This record gives sequence, structure tokens and C-alpha cells, in this order.
Amino acid sequence: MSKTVLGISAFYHDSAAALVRDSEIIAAAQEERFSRKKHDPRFPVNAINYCLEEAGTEPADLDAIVFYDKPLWTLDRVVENCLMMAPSGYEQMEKALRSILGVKLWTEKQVQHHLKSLGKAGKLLYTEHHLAHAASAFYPSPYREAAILTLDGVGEWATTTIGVGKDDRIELTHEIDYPHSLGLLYSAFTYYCGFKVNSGEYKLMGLAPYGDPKYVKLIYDKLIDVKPDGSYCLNTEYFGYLDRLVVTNEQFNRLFCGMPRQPESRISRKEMDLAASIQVVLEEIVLKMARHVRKSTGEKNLVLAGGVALNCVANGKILKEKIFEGLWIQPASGDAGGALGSALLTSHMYFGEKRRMNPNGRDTQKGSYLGIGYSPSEVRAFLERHSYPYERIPDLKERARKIAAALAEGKVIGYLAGRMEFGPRALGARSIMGDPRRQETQAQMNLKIKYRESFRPFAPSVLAEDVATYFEMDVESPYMLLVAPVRNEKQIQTGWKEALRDGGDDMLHVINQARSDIPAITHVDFSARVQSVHPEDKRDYYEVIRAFKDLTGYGVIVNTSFNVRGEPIVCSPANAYKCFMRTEMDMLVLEDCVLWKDKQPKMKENADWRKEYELD
Amino acid sequence: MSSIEVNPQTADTNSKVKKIRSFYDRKLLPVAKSLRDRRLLLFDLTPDPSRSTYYVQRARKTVMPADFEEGGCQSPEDLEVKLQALWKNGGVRGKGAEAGSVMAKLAASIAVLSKELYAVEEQDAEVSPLTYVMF
Repeated sequence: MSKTVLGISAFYHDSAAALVRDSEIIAAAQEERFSRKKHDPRFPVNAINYCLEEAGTEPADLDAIVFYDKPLWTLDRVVENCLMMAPSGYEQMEKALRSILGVKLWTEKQVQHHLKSLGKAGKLLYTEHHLAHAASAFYPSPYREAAILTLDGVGEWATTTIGVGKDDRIELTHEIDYPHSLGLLYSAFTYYCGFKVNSGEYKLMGLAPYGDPKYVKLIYDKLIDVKPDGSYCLNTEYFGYLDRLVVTNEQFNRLFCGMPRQPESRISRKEMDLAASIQVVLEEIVLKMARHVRKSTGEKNLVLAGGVALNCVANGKILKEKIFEGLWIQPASGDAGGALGSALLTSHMYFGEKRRMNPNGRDTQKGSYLGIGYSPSEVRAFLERHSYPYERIPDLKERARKIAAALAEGKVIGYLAGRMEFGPRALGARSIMGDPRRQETQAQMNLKIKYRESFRPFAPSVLAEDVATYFEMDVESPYMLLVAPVRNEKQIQTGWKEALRDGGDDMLHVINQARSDIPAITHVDFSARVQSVHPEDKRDYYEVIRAFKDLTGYGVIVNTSFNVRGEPIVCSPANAYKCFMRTEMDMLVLEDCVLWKDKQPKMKENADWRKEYELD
Repeated sequence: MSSIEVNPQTADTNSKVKKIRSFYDRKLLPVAKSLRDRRLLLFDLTPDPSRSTYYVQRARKTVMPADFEEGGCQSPEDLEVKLQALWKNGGVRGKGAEAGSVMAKLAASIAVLSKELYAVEEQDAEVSPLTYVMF
């Protein structure tokens, strides 16, 4: 009998909700998209409401509501940590106890308070944090059987788990526990290099190719012991997260000869080299683990989840080494994905629902387009209510040609179409698009549209059938979670490393050099974070790229998330219009309506909107 | 608000901080000392080169329906019972009966503290940019 399960993740970072019915993913969304507060950790009441609406159900009709974590087990870790660190660590303990004893332990009461029901089960269910990650990776994957590897900062205790999924069942056999954590190690370097923990890890990964990995030996000598099977243990003397409110400490500072870089200050050679070094260490450990998992489980496919699985450079290395025949990564690999994983795990291992495989051999994540959508008539009602001038182009191919023509002229276009993505990457439902052939596109989009650091690369969206034409990659990468080099014959050698040194570490020297015939998406090391676009996943977006190819010969465009720095990705047409008007985008597409910037009325704002969002 | 008026939220916060401080000084520190005196380490803080692997086998490899029903609490009384049971069995990771029995002494005072700290609506919803949110 069909069961409907609501999964919730909350109170840490990126709270979210997901709804699964009869083992099919019906809806999933992050709270930040509705609340407009980046990484919103609060109870996801808006995301839950959306999921219930999408499923056409009420809280009382849910068969179960499940939380992605076991708060009592987290309390066990908090108390043990306090006992081990005492008499130091009072400040951290005060904060931790207020949070866990004040709020998190009473999640069932929170659910009852907000939803006025605990569903038909009459009680809240709980899954282990890493089991939720494992479920989010295995069940939607295209594999009947697969090895499972989860890696994050920390769950209740586990920071790394290994297991196997087969049909409807998951077993996790081994783990590494707090305080030893690959996620926390990477976060320590993120913080030390002046980026925000929990969000800046992606920037550190993007910075790594600029540097030389000169600190690798020091990291292995002092910070972490790694065994041949990839298991590891940190030397916690160098980390602050056990007994203070920052992730590193004075020992760490001494080891790397100085205080952490101040956020927003100039990035120096040291940060580039640190980023390169920790990225090398992470990749080496992940590869050792992957080889161990392959050998110990005997499985030919691997699924990954947990925040570390968002490190698409490391993922690309696993792919390149061909350790497994198949690799699938949950696109919402961070805590938000725990909502989905907990709902799927409950569906299969609590209610015993049979797993549904996609008959065409692809995954069941539905392209991760699991969030809210707006109909063309809702969009038109919005535009007409505000008297915003627009042109309606209902024919998909005609609209795609119009968008492609604008892209080819160097226009930058905001694009909102279909259901919103679940996970941190924009995949063509809430995206900003540009022409990858133009050398100036990267700087223009970073500085005039995204208002973010100029070193950060942009990703390509490429027709699924053309992936191998542009990149050293022969598999699909629908979720932008794999990095691969631009094909050798397309690369233009620039001597950028020497230029960087000659330029006194000024990255602008090298950022503006063309490194291939698609320079806007080619990072300094010739890598690209590829999104392959399949017509079955997103027809409208596929048609835009197809039309761009018909016009220019290139089946690839620039794709970046539809937001400015510090802002959650846009959710509604109103969010999109506001972002469009505040930036130097030229065109906005809202479903079948096309808007030009120069035809819009001037937007009046009373305050500096840039202060609305805290920089990430 | 004049300088002599007290913000009720601040007063509430101060009261909670005092309760935590008292728990820390009177309950937690003695238990921590007791564990140290008995040389009971709850987890490793540094690498051990003699080990061949740092992976540990999970006690529970698969998940049963009953497992979904554990992990939360209904009331401070329920919390005390569950903590006692958890720690007398060696904690989540089965750290050993001796350490567990020492820790079990904290269960009642943690339950009392939870009454003081309880808040249905979370007050602190900021994500720290300085450390990984893990508590």
C-alpha cells in the first residue's frame, strides 16, 4: 500500500523538506529559497508547506514524518566532548547545550507546534544522519547494487561511513567518528584562508588551481595520519572546534606562520598554496578510500553523499581513475539532502516499500528539479499586475532561438523555467546564462552581475551528446558534480603560472587570459565543472543550448546560479525580476515571457540593496 | 528603553547562562575529573601509528523499524531515563561500562537543565561563519 513520508532536516545548516510517496520522490526544497536567508537553519515550515502542496496532502494524512538525525545521540557527543575538553571549552559547551537542550532535542514538539500533527504514525521518526546521506545517494541512483561512501563534517558521531546498498536495503558496515573528520579538516583551511565555513569550501576548491601544493608534506606530518585504506586520524591539538568557537587554533596559526586571512582582504600566494595543498590531500585520501571500498565491497558502482561529495574536483579524480564502473553523487549532498534520504530510508526500511528503478536505466532524481514551479499564467499575472513590459513566446523552439541569438550577441540572461532545483547548484531552472566563447564573460558576470570574487570560475552546460566533444569525459554529469579537463586540442597554453608569479600574485593577470576557445568556462588549470543537459531531464534548457549550437556551432553555454553573492538562488518570478533589475543582466526569461532590461521601468529602492545579503 | 530597564529576553538569557555555568562547575567538572583520574579516554585525540586502520566496525550494520523510533525525547523525565540507559550501555559508540557509569551520574542534572533551556521557537538561527555547525 502506498505510503507518504515527509523528511525534514533542520537546525544545523540548510534546513529542508522532502516528500516521498510510494517510494517516488514527489518534492524537495530548501528553506532558504523561501525565507531568502542563505543556509537558513530554522525549522523549514515554508519548504514543508510547499512539499505538502505539491503532493496535495495534509500533515495529518502523512504516514510518517521523519527527522534526518538523532538528537539524543548528538547530545551524547556534546557531553563526551565537554568531558574530554574540560576544564577548557566552557564557551563552546554553553552554546552547544543551549542549542541541543533548548531546541534540537525537542524536535517532535517543534513538528507538532508547526504542523499541528505528527501524521498517522502519531510520533516523529528519526534516522541516523549518515544513514540519511547514504539513502539519499543510493535509492535515487541508477544502480540495483552499489558501494556507499558518505563524507561530511559530522553527523551524530560518524564523519565517514562505508556500506553497501542492494535493492531496497542499505547496510553501513564501517565508520570513522568525531573528532576525526575530513570535512572539518577542509573547513579548517577554509576558515584559515578567510572564507566562511559551511559555504566557502567551494571557493577554496576554486582557488586551489592557482597555487602550488607546497604544504602537503606539512599537513601529513602534523595534522593527519592516513592509512593505506584511506582511513585517517587528525591530530586535534591543531584544531579549535573541540573547545572553542572557531575551527582552528594558535597551534594551527603557528604551523602556517600567521593569523588567518581577514575575509575580503587580498588573496595572497599563501592562500593559493594552502588551497592547493589541502585539495591534494583531500583527493589522495578520497582516492585511497574509493580503492579500499571497491576492494572490500566488491561492488562495481559507487554512490556518494555528504558535504565532502560536493567537492567535484575530487569526484572527477575518482571518475578519471576508473576505480568503479559507475559513479553517482546525490546533488543535494549537504545536510539538505538528509531530508530526502531520511524520507527514502523510511519508505523502504520502515514501511518496506519496493524500490522503483528508472526503466530507461537513468536515475530517479528527476534531474533534481524537485522544487516549486510557476505556471506561465502565474508569471503573466505577476508581470501584468506590476505593468512590466514583456514579450510572450509560447513556442519552445522559437523562444530558444530568441534566447540563443541574444547569448550569441554577448547578452547575459536570467532564466527561470520549470521546477526549482534541489541542491546547491543551478541546473537551468534558476540560472544565469552567458556566451562561453567570449573572453570577457567571466569577469563581466563575476563583477557586474554576481558581484563576487573575480577568481571564481563558471560552469558549462553542454548538450549531453556533446560532452566528449569539449571535455575529457565520456559519462553524463547532470548535476554539475564532476570536473573534467577541456579537451587537449581546445586548450591554449598561456604560461599562466609564470604570469601569476611575475604579476606579484595578482590573479587578474591570469584570469583574463583565454585558455581555450570556450574561455569563460575554462578554469586556469583547463578544468571545467560540467553539467550535461539531457532532453529527458529539461527539454526547454536543452533547446536553448541546441539553438545556440545551431547558431554558433557550440553546444555549450555558461551557467551560473540566478542570484547575487550572499543571496539564496531565486525562487519566484518576483525574486528573479528583482535580481534582474539590480544587476547588469540584459534579458530575463520567466517561463514563456521574455523581458528586456532597457524596456523596464526604473526600479526605485530606498536603501542599498547590497546590504540586504550578508556576503558568503 | 532606559538604561535601568531590563530587557526580558536578556534577563532570560542571563538566567539560562547562570544555570549552564552552575551545571558546568558543580556537575560536569567533577565527572570530567573522575574520568581523568581513572584514565578513561572517551575518544582518541591524536593518531596512533601502530594501528593498521582507523575504520571501526559499526555495531548496528542495518536498520530495523524499531531503530526509527529512537533518537528523540518526549520530556525531561524521558530524557533522564534515556540518558541513563544509553550511558549504562556504554553510550552510542559503546565506550565501555566504566566510563558509561561515570557519565550516567550526569543524566538527572542534564534533564533538569533541559527544563530551564527549553524553547519551542529557536532564538539563535544564525549560521556561524567561524566553525562548522555541529551541535
